Amino acid sequence: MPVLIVSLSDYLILSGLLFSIGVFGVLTRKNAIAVLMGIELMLNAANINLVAFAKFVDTGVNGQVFALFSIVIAAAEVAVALAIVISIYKTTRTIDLDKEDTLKG
Amino acid sequence: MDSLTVQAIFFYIFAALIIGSALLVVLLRNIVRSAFALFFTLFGVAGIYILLGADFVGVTQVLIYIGGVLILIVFGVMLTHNVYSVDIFNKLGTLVMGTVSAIITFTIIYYSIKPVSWLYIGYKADLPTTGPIGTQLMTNYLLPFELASVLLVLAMVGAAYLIRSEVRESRHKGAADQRSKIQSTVEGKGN
Repeated sequence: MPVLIVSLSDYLILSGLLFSIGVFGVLTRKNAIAVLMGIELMLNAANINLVAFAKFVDTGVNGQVFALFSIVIAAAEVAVALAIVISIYKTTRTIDLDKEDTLKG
Repeated sequence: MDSLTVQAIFFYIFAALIIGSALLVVLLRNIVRSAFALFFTLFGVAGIYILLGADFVGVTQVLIYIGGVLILIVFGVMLTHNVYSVDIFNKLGTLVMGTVSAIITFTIIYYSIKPVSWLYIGYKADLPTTGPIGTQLMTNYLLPFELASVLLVLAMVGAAYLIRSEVRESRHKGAADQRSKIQSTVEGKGN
């Protein structure tokens, strides 16, 4: 059986795939929370990159520390974004992004 | 079977889990099911972290993303969800444009990764990382660490402020009126 070796490029391609799926979700979804899920996918893809580089090209744990900060900021972002979505829902009774055109000139 | 092959097998298992469930997240029509598919994506990413020797980041991923963010999202779905009325997808044109954009994004990423030969540092033993991360956070990254705590407090207060209920204000409206009356009386006396 040949030796299978997972290289850095494999992790980066996995992360690129995940990022593209996130882009698709953000662009095609109508529901605001579904768009938020797409953003979560993209953030996770970026974190995979950080940790993969920490493993393969860094001697220390700098990449992992950056991934931790990224996770913390993502948590704060989700809390505020959901508050905004719920606030919009209270005002307009919908979270359909096509109908949120109150600010349209 | 040597350990590298085992590692590769686990990588492909986790990669399949991540990509499959991420596709379900963006394609399923029912948003509650999307949220549950997101659980498997986040879990697969945690597995990838463990595979990369980042044990602390992996556990943090499970704690914060699965234990915090996903619960928040499920709550958001339940608080705003209108199961039968919202058609979750856009029109066909948007769907096509989204697919094209995603394919272009992946093509750009793929062809910028492919030709690069990374400067590997060679084999690195998977030692426990919690200690070094703690040392880094308390030395080199002390300022970002403190700023992150400030940011979290701000986000918490901001979120609570944004979704505070207006009912409480009106309930205390009488009290507020009385307070302003008292204040104006006091100010009148001052004059």
